Amino acid sequence: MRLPREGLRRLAADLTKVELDAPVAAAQQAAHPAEARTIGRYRLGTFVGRGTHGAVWRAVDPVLRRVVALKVLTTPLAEGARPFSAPADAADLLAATELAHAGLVGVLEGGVTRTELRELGDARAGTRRQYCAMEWVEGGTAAGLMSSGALEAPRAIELVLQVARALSAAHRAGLLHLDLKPGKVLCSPDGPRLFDLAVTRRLANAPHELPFTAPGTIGFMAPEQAFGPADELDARADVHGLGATLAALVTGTNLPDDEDLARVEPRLLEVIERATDRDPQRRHRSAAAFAAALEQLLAEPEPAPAAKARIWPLALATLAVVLWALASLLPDDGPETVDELLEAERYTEALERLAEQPTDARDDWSVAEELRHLRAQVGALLASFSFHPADLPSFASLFEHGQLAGQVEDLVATHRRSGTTPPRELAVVELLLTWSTSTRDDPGQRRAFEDLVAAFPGDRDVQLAASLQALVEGDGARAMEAARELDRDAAVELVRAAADLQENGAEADRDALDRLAERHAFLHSDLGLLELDGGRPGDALAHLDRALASHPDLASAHHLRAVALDRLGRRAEALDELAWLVAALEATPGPETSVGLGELGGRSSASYSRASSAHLRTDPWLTDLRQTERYRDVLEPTLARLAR
Amino acid sequence: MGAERAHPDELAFPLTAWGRVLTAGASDEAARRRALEQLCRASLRAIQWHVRSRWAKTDTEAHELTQGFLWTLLEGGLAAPADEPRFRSWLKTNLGSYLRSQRRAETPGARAGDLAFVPATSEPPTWAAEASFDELFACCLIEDAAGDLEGRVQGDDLGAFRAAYIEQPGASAAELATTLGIDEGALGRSLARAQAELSTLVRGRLRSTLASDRDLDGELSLILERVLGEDLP
Repeated sequence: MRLPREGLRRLAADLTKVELDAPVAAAQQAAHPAEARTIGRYRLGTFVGRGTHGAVWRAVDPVLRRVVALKVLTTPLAEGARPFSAPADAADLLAATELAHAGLVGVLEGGVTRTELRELGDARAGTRRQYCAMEWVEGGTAAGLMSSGALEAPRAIELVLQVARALSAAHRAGLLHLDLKPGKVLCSPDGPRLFDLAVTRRLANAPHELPFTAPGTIGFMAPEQAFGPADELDARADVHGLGATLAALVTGTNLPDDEDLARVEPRLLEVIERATDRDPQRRHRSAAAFAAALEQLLAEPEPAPAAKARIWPLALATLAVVLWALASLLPDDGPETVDELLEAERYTEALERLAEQPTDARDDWSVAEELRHLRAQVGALLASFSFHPADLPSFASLFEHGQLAGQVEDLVATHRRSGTTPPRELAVVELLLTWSTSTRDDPGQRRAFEDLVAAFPGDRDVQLAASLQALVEGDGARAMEAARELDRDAAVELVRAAADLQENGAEADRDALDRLAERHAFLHSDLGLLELDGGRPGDALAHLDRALASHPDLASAHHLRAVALDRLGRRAEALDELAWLVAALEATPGPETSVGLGELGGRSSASYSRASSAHLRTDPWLTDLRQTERYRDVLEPTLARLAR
Repeated sequence: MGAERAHPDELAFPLTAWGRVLTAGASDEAARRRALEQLCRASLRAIQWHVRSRWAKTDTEAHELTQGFLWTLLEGGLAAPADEPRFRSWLKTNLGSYLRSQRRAETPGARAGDLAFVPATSEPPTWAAEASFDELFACCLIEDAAGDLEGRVQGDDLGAFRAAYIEQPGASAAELATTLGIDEGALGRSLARAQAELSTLVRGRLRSTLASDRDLDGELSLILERVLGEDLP
């Protein structure tokens, strides 16, 4: 059919009108024959449905010419209350809008409307309600899949596994969902996608005209969510939701009883029961750990091939040790919490000494209080660091007060110009700043350590720092030499063990490592390395699983786990493990996604991502995996891009 | 349980043609080629019109260049970005690259051997000389979708469609109603049904050229804007 130019233009104009106005016309016809309704700039279309906390419309954004899902909270906002007024609410919504993951439905923006919504029982306009615009995704929910009965276990596991991976990304961004259930998972053409992330919870937290109703759904929400304080909830509350969702899918009912559960395969039931344990301490620690359990469930053991020789992966193995040991640069008495640290007498005295310095004393005083907070925050963060590159931006975000970082640098420079030694407190903070923002091949980092050692030749912490720097540079002998001069304590022992590993490889003192691993579970990653090197992939896998149980995002452990699984002949799982790691590296924020001083963290994590990607592409232990089609066609292009 | 693991495709709808091209592995080369050929065939007129009008080629040259371009494309002889989510953009990039390389070499287009999938006659409209590749792509896609309307809508609706967009595109609703011997209300209902069906057909064709359905609304807006001659923001 050939159309003249004029006809084509007329047709395009009419089709544009069809696209933009059809939802509006449908809504008008259904509810308001005489009135087109808008919320914010969005034109309401089809009414999709109403849930416990909100109602959803298909709507059109006439500015960007796209269809969106518009969720309006059912409960009216109290008169005079400011929407998103709590900093945490605003931060959560902001984080949700910035979070991009293939398994999550994107959040676009939030606002307040007074539009009359008869679907919510309004008799007149004027009721204030909060709304949130989200990406429109075609497809029914997982609850719809249950309408014809229970899902086959492998399909249900695969579906929930993908949701758990997406949720893990959200948790890394500091967001909890807290209303997980099959009805919150859309089965889109691109796979399952979780929606309402952080939206219901935060919207519901605002002051309302009606009494507060806790977000969450009976049968899916964790006990502590229903009865405990909201600010004490963590990722394990969502793990409960994941477990309950899986249980619902494999039994075909939202509230399975003992008889329903008795029909579930025992190993699967074990995972579900652990995830939904009443005691959060007994659940999987994170969505990633839950995902790992599901992967394990899907795995099928096969005979192991012979071990192969390999090059020692120093760079990955030592990073965890270095970051942990940096925390030891905090006061010797080792306060474990921020509050304890703030109260530490030695620290207070140090700050007082800082204030007594003859040079620029007033300036020193002006930063003393902030400095104290800064070191407290650094200590708390390092103590709980998961060693994942994605954590680096949050590390750098500690230094969000750019003015403070500038003051620290200025003070140190002032001391140096005047020929006086900067206070040790300042120097250590500067060192931490340098560490958080530079890469191991950054000459500035080496210089910072050299300056520090020169300024404090007899200082134990500074010598330890020098030893760490040697460790990072791959000079195990120099690291051991520097550590030998120091008194024996936990940090020194750890550094010595890491240096021993670097210097002596499989001949390292195994007893010392075993002893240390009892206290520092991430060292199981290094033990896994030793087992792999000794040709014992089964033992290696056990160690790596222990490392990942406490540090689910430990990149080096995932890398080595792929090797171990490959050695055990479980190639599909090995590739899944690699795919997970590649996706994590890909999701690591780059400098272009960061602002202000956070940019430093972005640069640092991008550098880490580059180094890890390059290592995956060259590690001789992965040679066979790299020959597979999936690696070549799917993983290699991503790694090549990341390594650039 | 591992052996029973669900294939990812079982969790989602089937891949689009362009999705198959992007994700096919080495062992799926035949499927990849089939999907690419299907997309190329659907875009033939746009390519040929573009070559003739914008590159000022004769009928014969345009035919040979188009043939050579598609042959090179199917043989994988072009270095196109492998992660472009839109087939249209990928095609445009490669077409420009191919035509520039042919111009530099001052040689006729690469021969496609016995492969003859380009129709010899495909006269571009006069306005094609002013149109961008995107506009040609969009117009051809809408025209092809309109061709599928026959048999999918009732005779009266198709008659109204032809009158409004082919026979009397400049006529008012009243004039069209008079011509067709119906009242304006009936005309409006007929056109609305035809437009709704056409919208579905256009979406279906467009969907096959995208890696993900997420881009569908945006791509549809873009091609409609191109036909309307509006600049993108």
